[in-house]
Amino acid sequence: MKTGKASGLYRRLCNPSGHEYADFLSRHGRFYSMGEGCHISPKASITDQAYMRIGNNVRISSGCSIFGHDGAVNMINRAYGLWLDSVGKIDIGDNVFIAHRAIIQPGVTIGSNVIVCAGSVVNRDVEDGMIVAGIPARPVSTVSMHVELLKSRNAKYPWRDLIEARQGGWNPDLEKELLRLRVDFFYPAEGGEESDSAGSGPDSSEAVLKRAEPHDSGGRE
Amino acid sequence: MLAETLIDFIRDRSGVIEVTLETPIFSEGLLDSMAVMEFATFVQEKAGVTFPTADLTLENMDSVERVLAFVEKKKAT
Repeated sequence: MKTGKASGLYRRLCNPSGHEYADFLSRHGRFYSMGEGCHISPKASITDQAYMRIGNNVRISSGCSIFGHDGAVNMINRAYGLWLDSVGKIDIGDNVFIAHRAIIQPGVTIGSNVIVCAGSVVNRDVEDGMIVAGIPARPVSTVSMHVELLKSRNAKYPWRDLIEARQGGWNPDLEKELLRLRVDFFYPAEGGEESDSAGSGPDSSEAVLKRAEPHDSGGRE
Repeated sequence: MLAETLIDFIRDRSGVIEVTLETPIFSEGLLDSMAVMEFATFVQEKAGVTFPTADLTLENMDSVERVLAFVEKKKAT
């Protein structure tokens, strides 16, 4: 099956998660190649898939645009009476996170272990291990440094043991306690006080929990 | 003096006045991860050393004291 209309129909009818959509594209898409364990938001725009090679554990967030052609060439051809082509491959390594609304332009190679920050425009190659941000995207840090910072930050979280117990998944038995601990951690003074139900003042973590109940994600990212 | 130059840089970027040789720069969030490369480039420029991105670790970069020790080690090799 070729994607296109089928892909659009699948997204509309099945409302897939990122993992489900990536799995669908892996089986029915037109990528040059695509690795395992990917997560592709159904709200990402990916054209020219035949020129794209995607590694393992690549996560493409909503609103991202990844394309392998330069649409301006059509205008140029008409204006100058030419027949030029302007396309490029997109080569994405393993373990890459492309954040919300990032744009990847044609001809770009993104190495492995890379984070592309939200809203960035990647118009040149990204080396292995880098975090890039901005327009145009430039290196701002390394993923290994970011991992160290995350570990350091996590060590201070009172809910650290719950995250360990949950092992990256969504556990209905733990989510309420997790949310409560986070709210109390972020708003220690407000969370401990009586909330004013009629006003717009701070709520207790219990009140936040009540409101959050209908919105649990069911593990869907 | 390199230590003062680095402290001034951190003060300027973080808006925090109380920065000492031992103050954790990144793990306490004075500078966030978006500033790692900028800080590393500044260190290289001011210290006259070059180092690969693999050397960007908390062990080497998380305080001015650590940066000074790392720079000395780099100069010695």
